[in-house]
Formats: sequence, structure tokens, C-alpha cells
Amino acid sequence: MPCIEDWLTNPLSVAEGIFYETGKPDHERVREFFSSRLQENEALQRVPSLNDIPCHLLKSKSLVRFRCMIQDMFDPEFFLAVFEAMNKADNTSHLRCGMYQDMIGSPDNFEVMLESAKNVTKERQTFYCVPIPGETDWAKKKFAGKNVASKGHGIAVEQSSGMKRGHDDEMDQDENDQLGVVSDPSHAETKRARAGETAGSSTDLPSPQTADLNFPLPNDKGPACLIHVYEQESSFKVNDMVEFIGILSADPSLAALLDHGKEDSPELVGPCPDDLITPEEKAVHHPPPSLVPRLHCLTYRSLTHSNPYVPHGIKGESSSQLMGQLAGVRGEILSLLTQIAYGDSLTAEYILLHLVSSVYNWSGIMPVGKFALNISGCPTSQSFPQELYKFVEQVVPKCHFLSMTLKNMNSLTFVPQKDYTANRLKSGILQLSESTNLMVDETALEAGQLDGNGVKNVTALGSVISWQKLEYDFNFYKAEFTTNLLVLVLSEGKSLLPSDCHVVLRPQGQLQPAQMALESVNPDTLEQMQTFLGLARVAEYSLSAEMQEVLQNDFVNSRQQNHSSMSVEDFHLLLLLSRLMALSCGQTSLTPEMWNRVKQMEAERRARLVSNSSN
Amino acid sequence: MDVADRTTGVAHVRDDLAERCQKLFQDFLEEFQVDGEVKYLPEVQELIRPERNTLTVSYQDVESHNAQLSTLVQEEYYRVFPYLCRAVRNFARDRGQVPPTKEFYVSFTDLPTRHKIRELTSQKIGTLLRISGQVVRTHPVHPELVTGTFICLDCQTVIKDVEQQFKYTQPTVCRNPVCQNRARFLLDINKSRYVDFQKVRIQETQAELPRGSIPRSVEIILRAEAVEQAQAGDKCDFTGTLIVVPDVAQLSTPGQRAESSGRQTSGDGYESEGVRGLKALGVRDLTYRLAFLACSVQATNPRFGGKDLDGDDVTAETIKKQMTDQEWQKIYQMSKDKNLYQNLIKSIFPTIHGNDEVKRGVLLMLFGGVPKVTTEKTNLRGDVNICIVGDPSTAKSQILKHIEEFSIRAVYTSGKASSAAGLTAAVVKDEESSEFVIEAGALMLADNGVCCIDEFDKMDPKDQVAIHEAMEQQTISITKAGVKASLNARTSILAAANPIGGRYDRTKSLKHNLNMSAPIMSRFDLFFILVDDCNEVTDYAIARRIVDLHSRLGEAVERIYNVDEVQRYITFARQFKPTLNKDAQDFIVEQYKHLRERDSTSMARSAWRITVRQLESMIRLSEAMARLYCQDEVHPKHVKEAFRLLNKSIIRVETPDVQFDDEEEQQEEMDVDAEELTQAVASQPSEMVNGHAEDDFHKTDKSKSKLSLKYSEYKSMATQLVITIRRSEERAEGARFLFLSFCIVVIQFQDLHSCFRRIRSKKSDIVNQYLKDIESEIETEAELAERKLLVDKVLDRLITHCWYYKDHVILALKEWGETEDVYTPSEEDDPFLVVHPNFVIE
Repeated sequence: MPCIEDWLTNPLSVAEGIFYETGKPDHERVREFFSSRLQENEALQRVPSLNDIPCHLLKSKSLVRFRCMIQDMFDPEFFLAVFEAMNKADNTSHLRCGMYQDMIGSPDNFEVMLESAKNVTKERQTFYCVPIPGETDWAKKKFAGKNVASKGHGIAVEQSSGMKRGHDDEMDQDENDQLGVVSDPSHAETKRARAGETAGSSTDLPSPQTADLNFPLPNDKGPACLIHVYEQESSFKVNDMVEFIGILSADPSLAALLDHGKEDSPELVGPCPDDLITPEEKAVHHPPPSLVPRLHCLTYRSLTHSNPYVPHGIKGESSSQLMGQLAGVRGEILSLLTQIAYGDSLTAEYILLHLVSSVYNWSGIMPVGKFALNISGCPTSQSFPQELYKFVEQVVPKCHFLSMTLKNMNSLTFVPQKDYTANRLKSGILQLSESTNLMVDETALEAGQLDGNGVKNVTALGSVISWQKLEYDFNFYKAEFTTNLLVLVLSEGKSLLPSDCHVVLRPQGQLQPAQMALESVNPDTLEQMQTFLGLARVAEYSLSAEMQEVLQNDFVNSRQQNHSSMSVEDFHLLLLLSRLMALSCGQTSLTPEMWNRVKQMEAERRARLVSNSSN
Repeated sequence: MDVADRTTGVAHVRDDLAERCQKLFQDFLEEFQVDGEVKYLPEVQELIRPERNTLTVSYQDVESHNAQLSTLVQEEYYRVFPYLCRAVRNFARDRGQVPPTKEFYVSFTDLPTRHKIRELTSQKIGTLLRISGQVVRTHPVHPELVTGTFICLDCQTVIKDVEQQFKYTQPTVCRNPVCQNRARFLLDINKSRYVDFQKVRIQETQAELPRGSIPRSVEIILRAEAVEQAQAGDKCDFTGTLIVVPDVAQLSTPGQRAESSGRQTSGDGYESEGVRGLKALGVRDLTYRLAFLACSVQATNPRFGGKDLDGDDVTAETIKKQMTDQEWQKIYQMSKDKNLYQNLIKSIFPTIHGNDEVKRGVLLMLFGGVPKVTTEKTNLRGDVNICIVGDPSTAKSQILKHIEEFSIRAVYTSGKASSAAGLTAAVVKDEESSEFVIEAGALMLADNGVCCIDEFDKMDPKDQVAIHEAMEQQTISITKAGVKASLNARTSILAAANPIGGRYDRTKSLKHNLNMSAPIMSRFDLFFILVDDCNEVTDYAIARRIVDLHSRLGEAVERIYNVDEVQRYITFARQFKPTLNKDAQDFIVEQYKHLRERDSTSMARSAWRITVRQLESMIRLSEAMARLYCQDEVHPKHVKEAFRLLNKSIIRVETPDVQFDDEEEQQEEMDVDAEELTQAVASQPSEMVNGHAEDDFHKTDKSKSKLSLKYSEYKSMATQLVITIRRSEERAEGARFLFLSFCIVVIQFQDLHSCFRRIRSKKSDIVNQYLKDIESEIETEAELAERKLLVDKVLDRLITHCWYYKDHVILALKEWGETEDVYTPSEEDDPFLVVHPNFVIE
């Protein structure tokens, strides 16, 4: 049995061992082996993560992991899972395994028998994955901090990278000498960046911003990765958050393999390579490995949330217990929010509820749990939206701030669109993973002309808010994808976008900059806040039979008293709010007190709406 | 091995199987006869013309001629293909003057099974397949080198017929044994042969796309006569085989050729250089890329349940053929379902409570009527248009959204912010409220589908005009850049609108409640009005549903039929073109006359007159009803249902001031139209033709005028009565329980019987109880008598009337135990009453 170092640094040998043992490419066995090894959280932490360590510091063919969102799914690929290799020296042949690698080192004395009947062709899927869009700094740091591999990684990495660099340069030179081809500028760019960096051995990522890595959000950084998945029936969906664990393949010689062949192709021959693959397509599907490394997935974890403080797959008892312990922190969050929201505690309360909301059930076409909030009455003169965002950024794991200026609306792409030339799904701002907070600043909007793109964007945003559905544009048709985004719209008057709940802000005091408010909080409390909000989103919640009865009676009675006092929609909202209220107080079921509190809160909110419109 | 032999590129290993196949195929071409003629002879003779080179063969012909051959062709397609082409060449040469160098190709059509792009796996490589998809990208046509003639630059030897397969292949070595040249050759362009070559990419169609996945695509390689047949956007079938090519192509780079050059003759992929050598680096690439080498292209005859079943030539039979057995069985089963009408509604709207009439109307809209062309060539639309008017939060948008989800081709748009792509819209800031408003542009419509327009009333008048045109003419005119175009817009409109002022004002007519011009209003076949009504029982039901929605987790919605099944059924049923049979015609005429008469007597009170338009609506709805049951004839029962639906909608619009009708949520049991109510209450059926003729009624018979009561009153009274009965039932239930325990010991069965009799409510008891309940409201004795009479009538109505809807609100028990009998009031004077167990007070 291979020891731990073996399967960490040379997982291929494990896979090969299994292959020789079973005599066939058995992905299931390989998956089981690695899953069982990585069951322990600690073991998992030992696996270096592409999120934290730049790819060039990692050894190719070692075990790595990558926490990411599936942005695009490419067409399946065929490859030789088993091939016969002929030893030139003694003319004996044996079978070798071709799984989990892009290419095989073929020593001179070996010859691959291409026409051997023993060869097995298999299929694998390729996903284009990007780091989770909108991931906030604290979440990234926390994830990185957890990683055992990155700590004290310095020396080992430096050594290996030093070694690799030599190899690397040699390769590049070889390549250039041999073929007279200058690798594309972005490649050169990263090389330079890389060269500068190795000296300092910092763990910051190289910024390959020259290349279009197709991130949904323009400001996102990090590596993109091509993931090869060997599962036959994989249930991955686009926008899923997954942590893939597998074998890194970033050997620069792969780039060499890809890069050459550009020279004089005789035009007259017809179906020359450019016919089979266009340059645009090649750039997307076969980017240089230094820019987009490959990862051959051995096993994976589907992520339901991306909060580093919330244990993976936490459920029931333990989460409610944990939440109970942290319930006290609610007051802290509320007070901070109140400070930022001009001392308006009602608005702060609604924002807090918004922060813990999430679509938890789909009933036919109805996303249950969706709580899109519109806060109107935001003074345009001050930077309330920015300040609020600064705070939100500190407590939620994923968020994005969208300034709704005419320019942004007209120029940005919101909806993912298929680019048939490059054969990829061009990402848009709304291609976000589950429960990402999206803050829309409508105070930035000015009167003017919205062009076709702008109208499309507004419609898309509206559809996400009302139905949690987004229609990706495949040119010949549109396909609907469900989303789960938490949209908060800040506007001066009532927003032009729909919302589930509209709150009028009533400034009671001065705006407190988020920075100041946050400074008063000690790091432990902040951590508690982050944990608490994360837990509240995944916690279970139930309504007791008695409580259900109370709710029903309440609905009927209030309608009897005054017909218009409670519509069906109001009731929906009340139920939702009471759920969020209970969760935000660390409780997992509704009590009559909580219900009354919510009703009172709603009454206050409505009173404001009425007085506002009569003004 | 002889070097010269190698360079010819012809397989140097004799492939017996393939050669046998060639012979069999040639035999087939020569022998296959239809009606005594050799079927493919004329076509082969055609091939002699210079621009032709491909013979199209129906696979089914091959199959019927020689099953062994057909299996061989299918399974070893890639391997035998060159031999089949050779068979065609030999056949052609035997029959005519053919230039010796001309290449011939064969293409197959009519392959029985069709695959989706997602079903292409490595097992399928090399076999004959038919796949379908939408063409998303086409490349220009290139000449492709088939066989090259090379000149050795060292010794000038001419090397002929070097076979080329997707790559530029030079001879490995000069055929002159003395010359050692392996690299320097010149292609003799004039002496080489070429074939047309085109690459297109196809992608999964929307219908095939699994939820949450990105559509897959595959490259298609077309050759010879198959090029230039597919355009981007077309949905096509391609017959051919799956091949693998190296992922990154760089095959033509001279000097980078891999070591092996012999063409692979096994069925497993054509390309011998899948694994490229990059000697310098000592690495090999192991990946391949899929491509589909197609020999024939045909427009897809739409897969069943696809989105393109709009051709006129599609019949139920052809659809049946495209279905799997299982699918067909399900449809058959559904068409035999007695409760189909109700079950479909439940399946389409699993989460919407009540509103059954709206659901029915919308369901019929999905089926639609039969479009007709008159002898004067005027088109009569078959699409049913529906408008739902209602208070906020009455699930209007949800109904629309459900339809969008369900309909084969539907567009959901909001009147407020809809705009066609490419048109501009202005953002305007409202000075007072500082709210931003978007001024909408035009609207896109779905041809052959349903256009769901939310907030119809908020729509720009210009767009309303466009909709108007679409609704009646089934076309839409667009003026853009000076060109006026008229596009087909054969679409059903499902509109939802809010009443003026937010809430429906019952004292006003529909016309005054709605911001919509009369011409547009008249284009809707059905109007439904949803009022957010306050009613204890309904409220309970709604509250229950919402609480359920919020408290249960992860439970899927229950549907009797799933989305696919319903869609398939609707597509299938829509192929029927039912005609009215004699009975139905008579029935329609009668009903129409009925409506007209009522219309004329009601003077100027109606929103619009009953016109031919309503007659057309009635026919359309009846046809839709017949389609629902997959019937070729419209029967009176279909008309009856259509009439009933229409009645609900027209009468409401017609007699806005008389609140007889149920304008509340569409409850079937209580829901009666005004006419019938008056009949029942006044017991004067013959005279009371016009339900809304309250005024006339007043004049002719003053004493009875009070008997015609407003519907809302009727309804509240009915509800109260029902509650009274329920209450007494509950009391009885409690009593019975005590009683029973006692009975078991002592009393004989007969006595038990009589005991129960006592605790059941007699009709008279109920009346008395009711009168007692409202005692306080009654002042004089005369009023009491009147009230009593009224209560009697209402009760009778509740008991008898509902036979029409096949639902009893209150059951009258003639004798204990006979719960199922229909009671007629004349038969017995004082029956026992129970509320129908299924009745829900709305």
C-alpha cells in the first residue's frame, strides 16, 4: 500500500497500481481509494489547493484540489484509457493506463501501439471551472488559512518550483529554437510575472489578466481550470459549486504540444487543421497550461455553501446547537447595520433578514424562500450603498455590488451567451453560484436612453428577482436556468425592479461609515457573525402543527375584520419573514411571540409606505 | 513489403469481409426492384452527369433486400464504406460512360433509429447512425484532396494515388528504390483529385436539453453532394458515422508526421495518428475529439414532442409513428381517462388553489380550435384568446407562468417592460416619486404558441394595436428601416390585467373596470374575473396551502401526469381536426339563438352585443373540447361545456350591474349563472330566460321581485345554510358517538336506525334553524314568510340545481342510506339534508 506521501505527490502511481491489479481502467476503485483517504478533514487539508497556491508552484502530476464553480461544460472527449506499449529494446509489449493524464511521457525505447486491439477508448467530460464568483476576501483567507499544505509549504515548493523552472525555461527555449514560434503574448506575460514572483516566493497569484478567463464578475481573480471528469453518469450542473480533487496537469510541454503546428499549412489541401478547430476555439479549449491548468478529477465534493466557518454537510442537531450558542451575535449585527443605516433599526432588521434568506424549496415554478428586498429613500448625496456593501462584504462569503448606471446597464453583459465561434458560453454578471448576495445600487441610475442590451439586462435582472430564473442565450434559442441569488436593491424612490418586500428608509441620525463601525468590533465577534449568518442559511426550520393552526386562524381572522388588510401575498411574506426572523434569532421553529413580532414589524413597514406615498 | 505498394495507400491487407460486402451491395443495386424496375438504375445513370457523384440509397431498401448486408453496413459502416463506394463505381461503369478517375459516393437515408447528440458514446464509433441536432455554425466549402499525385524533388519520379484522409499525407518514401528521399515531394495539383468538403457544427436542440446542462455539440464533416445543404439554425438529421480525430489538429505540418502511416482498417476510428508523436519532448497526447462523418443531410422531421410540429402535413398517424411504444401507450391511456379534463388541470396547475374555471379555459386554449379557410380565402383563426382580470395577488401571474412552463412554445412577457431585442427603451424619472420608469418598445410574439402577457393593461397602446392585429389577423406588421413586413403570428394570447384602481369594482361594468379598448376586448374569447374575496372557508383553504408550502421541505409537486406526458398529449391531440356533427350543430344554433334572444331583451345593458364573434368562440371552444378527448367529431356534450365556459365569461361581461353571477373565485359547485338562479328561485323557468332582466321582472311581477336576489346574497345565504347543516351534522356526530357506545349494548338495529333518523337534519329543521339565526334581521311577519320562501327556494336550488354540474352541494336523503340519489323537490316534502362530503365552502 502506498504511504501518504505517495498518494499526495504521485497519485498516478496509485491509479496505475489499481489498474494493474484489476486489469482494467476502473475509475470507481480509484475514486473509492481517494475518497476514503480524504474522508478525514485533516487529510483533505494536506492537499494543496489551486485557490491558494499559484499553479506554477505546484508540481505537475501531484494531487491538488480546486474549489470552484462550473462555468461551462465542453463536449466530451475520447481518450485512450488503455494502450499497448511496445518495448523497442526487446520487442515485448504490455498494457498501460492512460487515465488521468493529458499526455504520456514516452521514453525512447517505448512505442505506443496505436492499432492494437487491446486499446480501450473511453470518454471523459471536460468542465471549464472558475473560482467561485464574488467570493469575499475573508472567506478566501479563511480557506487558505485552513490549508495545511500552504503553511510551511515555502521551502518544499520553492525547491520543486526551482527545479521546475529550469525545466520550464529549457522547454520554452527548446520550443522556440525548434519551431521558431513565439508563444503568444499572454503566455510570455505570465512568464514574466512568474519570473518576478518566484524571487519573492509570495503566495499571491500571478495576474493573467491579459487573457480572457471568462469570469462572470469582472473583478474576480484566480486561476481558471479545465477539469476532466471520468464519471460516466455525472450529475453536475452548470453553476454548481464543487471542490474537485485530482491530478494537476500543467506541464509546459503540453503547451509546446499545443503551440506548434501553426506554421505553413499548405493552403490547397483543404481540410487543414484550421478547419477542424478555429483559433478562437483553440484559445478557449486548449489554453496554455500555465494560464489554465488541467485537473484530472479523482474525487470531488459538491458544496452546498461556501462559508469556511460552516462545516461541510452540517445538518440538524449539530447546526441548531451551534446556532443557539451564537444567537447572541444577532444583536451585534443589528446594531452595526443600524449604525450604517442612519440609525434606522427597522431597515436594519429587514437587511438582516435578507442576509439570512435563501431559496430553500421549489414548489413547481415558485421559488420558496426568495426574499428580494428593495430599500428606497436612500439619500443620493451620500454613499450609503457603498457603505452598506462594505459591511455586507465582511460578513457574507459571496457578494457583488452592481452599480446600476446607464453605462453599466448598456455595456455590461448580464446574461451568459453562447459564443459559437469560440464554442464556449460567454459568462455574464448574473451567472453566479447559489446564494450569492447581489446588491444593486439604483441610486446611481440617471435618466437617459437604455439601449437594446440595457433592456435585456433589466429584464434579466427582473426575471431573477421575480422567478429566480435566467434565460441563457444560445442564439437559436434560450434555455432557462434556475438561480438562487439574494438581490437587494437600493433606490431613491421605489425601484423599477420588482421586489418581494419594499422598505422605506427613515434616516434617524448620521451615516456611520462601515469602516468605523467595523473597527469597533473585535475579530472574534466578526468571526461569530460570519459563522452565524452562514449557519442560519442552511439551518432547518419547522412549523409545529399548533403553530400552523395559529397562522391559519390569524389569516382568516384578519381577513374577516378587514378584507384588504391581508392579501395572499402578504401572508406569504409574513410566513417568510417569520421563518427568517426565527432563524436569525437562532431558533429552528416558530413561536407565537416571534410571529407577533414579525407582524408588528410588517405593520410598521407598511405604515411607512403609506405615509410615504401620501407625502 | 514492397514500398511502392505501401504508398498507394490502398489497404494492403485484403479485407475479405469488406469485399464480400462490396459484392453484396453491387448485387443489391443490380437486383433491387420496385414494381419490376431496378430502382437504383435511373439514379445511377444520373450520376454520369459531371456535377453528380453521390448515390442516395434508402437503408430500408437494403434491409428488405438483404438483412445480412444491412447489418453489416450498419455495424461496420466505416470499414466497408470505401467498398460500397467502389460498388457504386463498378455499377455505374457497367451502365454507362464514366471517366475512369471519377469518384463515386454512396449515402444512406431512412435509418430507422435516431440518436441524440448526448447518446453518442465511444461504442458507437464506426457504426452507421442517424443523429439530429440544430446547425449552429457552418464553415465555407473547401476542396479536399482525396488522392494526391506527388513528384519527388530528388529524382522526379511521379507517385500517384496517395490516399489522403483528413490530412496532408506525403509518400513516406520515394517509390524509386534508388532514391532515399523521404521528405521532399511536390504535390501535382492538376493531377490530384479533390472532393467538396464542409464542416458544420450541430448542437442539442432545446427540447433535448436536460435541465441545468449546457447543450452539447458535435462537428459534422460533410463531403461531396452533402455540402451546402444545412444552414445555421436548421434542424437536420445526419446519417453517417462517429469518428475520432486528434484533439488538436496539426496534421498537415510536414515533418511532424507520426511514425505510422498505414491506414487503419479496423472499425475503430479512421485516424491512425490520434496519438501524435512529439519526439523532441518525448511526450504524447492521448486525447481525441469527436466528429461525425455524415453522408447525408435531411431536414429533421420533428421528433415527437419537439418544438416544431407546425407543418400542415403532420397527421396524428405520423406522430404516432415517431413515438415509442411506451409513449403511445401512455397517450392511449390518457385519452381513455374518464377524468382527463380534471386530471390535466391538476397536472398543469398543481400549486394553484381553486380557480377551476380559469384553469379549464386555459387548458382549452392549449388545445385550441381548428383554423379554417373560407371559400373566399379568409383565414379564420383557431387560437383561443383569454384574458384574466383580477385583483392583485390572485395568482394571475402564476397561471401565466405555469402555461409558459407547459406550452410547447410560449413566451412570457410583462406588458410593462417588454421590448423586442434591438429596440430602445427610455428610462424616465418620475419627478414626484423619484421612481424610474421604463417606457417599453414593441413586443415579440410567439408564432404557433402561446403569448402570455402579464400586466396587459400597462402595455403601450401601440403594442396593444399590434396585439390586436395578431389576435384577429394572425399576422403582425413591423415597420423597420422603411420596409414594412408582415409576419405570421399564429398565437394564442393569454393576458392578465389589473382592474383600474387596483381592485375590481363590482358596481361597474367590466368595460369600466379595465383599461382596454373595446375592439381588443372583443377579441378575447373568454374573460375571467378573479376577485380577492373574503370568505372564511376559502381563506382557510388558502392559508392551509400557503402554510404547507412554507413548512414542507423538498417535496416534489404531485402531478397525475408529468410535464412531458401532458406536452406530448397536447401535441398529439392538436393534430385532430374535429368537425361539428349534426347534433352539435343544432345544439350550437340553439344555444346561440338563446344567447341572442337574451341579448336583445336585455336592451342596452350589455357591454357588447352577442355577435358572430361569440359564435365563433363557441365553435372554437367546442373544437378544443373535442380535441381534448382526441375525437374527430364535436358532440353536443363538447358544445355544452364550451357554452358553459362562454356563459360564465360573456354573461359576466354582459350584465355587470346585476350581481347574480359568481364573480368570485370560480367555484364550480356554487357557481351558477344568473339565468338559472332566477329560474330556481322564482320557479318560473319558462319566463325567466334572461337572468339579467331584473328590471322586466320587477315590472311584471312585483310580489316576486324580492325572490330574485343578488348573487352575493344568494351566495352568503347558501353558505350560511351549508354551515347550518354542517353544524347540526357535527352535533349529530358527537351525539352519535355517545349513542353508539350505548347502542352496542342495548338497542337493536332497528332502533339505531330510527335514532340516526332523528339526528339527521330535516329540511324543515334547517329552514327553521336558519330563520332563527337571522331572527334579529327580520322585523315583520310578512318578511319572515318571505324569507322562509326564499330559504326554501335556495335550498331547493342547492339540492336540485347542481345536477347540471354533476355536483351536489346538499344531498337530500329520501330515506336513510340512500345518499347517492338525486333528489327532486317535488317527490318529497321534507327530506333529510346533508352537505355533500366533497363540497368545500369557498
